[in-house]
Amino acid sequence: MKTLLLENYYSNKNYLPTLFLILIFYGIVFISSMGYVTYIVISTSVFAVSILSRSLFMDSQYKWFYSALSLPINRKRFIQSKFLIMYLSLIIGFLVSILISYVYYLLTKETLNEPWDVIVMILSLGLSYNVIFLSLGIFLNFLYENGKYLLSITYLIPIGIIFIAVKFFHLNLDSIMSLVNYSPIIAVIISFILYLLTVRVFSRRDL
Amino acid sequence: MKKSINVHNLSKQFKNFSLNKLSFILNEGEVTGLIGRNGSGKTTLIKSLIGLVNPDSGDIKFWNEDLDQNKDKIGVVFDDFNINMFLTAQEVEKIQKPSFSNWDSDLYSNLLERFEIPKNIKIKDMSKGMKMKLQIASVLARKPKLLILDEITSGLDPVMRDSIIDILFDFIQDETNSILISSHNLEDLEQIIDNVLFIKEGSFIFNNSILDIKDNYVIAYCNKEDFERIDPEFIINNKEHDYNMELLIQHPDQFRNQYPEIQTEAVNLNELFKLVN
Repeated sequence: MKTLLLENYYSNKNYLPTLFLILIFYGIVFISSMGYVTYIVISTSVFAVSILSRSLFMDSQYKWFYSALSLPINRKRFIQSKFLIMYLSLIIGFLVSILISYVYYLLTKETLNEPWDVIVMILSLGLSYNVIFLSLGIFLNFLYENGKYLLSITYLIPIGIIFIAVKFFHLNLDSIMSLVNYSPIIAVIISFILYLLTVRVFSRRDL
Repeated sequence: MKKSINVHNLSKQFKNFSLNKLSFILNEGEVTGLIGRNGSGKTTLIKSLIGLVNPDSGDIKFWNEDLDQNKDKIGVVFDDFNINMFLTAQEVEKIQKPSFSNWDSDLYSNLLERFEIPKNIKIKDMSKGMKMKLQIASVLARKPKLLILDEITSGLDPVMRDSIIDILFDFIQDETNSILISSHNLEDLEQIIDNVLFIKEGSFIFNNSILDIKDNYVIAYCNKEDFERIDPEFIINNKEHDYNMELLIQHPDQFRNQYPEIQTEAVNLNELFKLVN
């Protein structure tokens, strides 16, 4: 696993400063207009999408899986590394966004406008959403050779599911709120199911 | 003698191509050359061996065990270095070292020095020969017992090819090491291999030692009239040229006795390759 994570780190090393600058730029633009919480959700998403899509793109560009799978690494471990990279990049993106927000606060003394329970709700919803759509992106990447190009479309899939649930299963506000409360657990469960499916499809694929 | 590789009845069906019940053994201390035209199945066979292609049926064993139990003893080198081209040789070591308990950093440094590969230039700025040598250095630093090499000398100049063959000679000085190598550079191969696997349309048409081939086959040159009177039992294959015929002949001693006037020559891989394709 260390080999796979290090490969990803060295592949992204030169790109990270640019990505951090983008997050700072987003901070200047979004915190003043949309507030801290929305900024944290958006920049976490941008960071994780950038790192993950770059990792998947580099894999296919240089056929890294040929080399990786000829090391003492099996296909299951390879998929695990992609999900781990996803979670790590979400955590790092989240922490960096909080740090940028804090620096912004120190410079401007702008305070949080939202009440605490709304902040928790937006953050858990936003991060859960990212976990689901990024897991879907990894799954599609290993299901289809060109699946990585579907990463942007996968962003819409959870929205579509929510839309269908509201439209056809007539969810009321209470049930929506209970879904929101459980969203991190639901996201982790969906992510785990997608991980199992990804291992299954990748194990059967000829490379 | 231990079997580094034991393949039995390996089959794989694709839409337009198949590997058909391939069986072979590579013993420790031996070098086997895998030859055949483009698209004959060499790379698919190698990919099947190292788990990149899932066979439909058949058994693949390394030292009588499955691949996963022996991956740290197997070094695979492809014709391209499949790694991020923005990495340096130093970073390649940092990435690969954690996967191998017996990684030898001193050996890696010595090999880079011997191959004149700077540690801190990016792979994208290296020549094809340098990339290949870096790949070989990163494989040898793991102290493998088996090398599986796919077209590693293609596109390299003769000096570079010779230097890579030298590296392989060094590797097989340890008689428990073995190599499976596929290549189109048959003269290079002939210097180093003990056995030859000749693959055509997914099937082996020769699976012999080089000594067997040299003992049991010859090339004969004759005109069309002579060709017509030769017993077809002797002729494995033939090729017609403008002024003569070239024949691959089996049972050379009987053939020479029966047709002493027909010129024969010891078979070499190049001629064999041309005659059976």
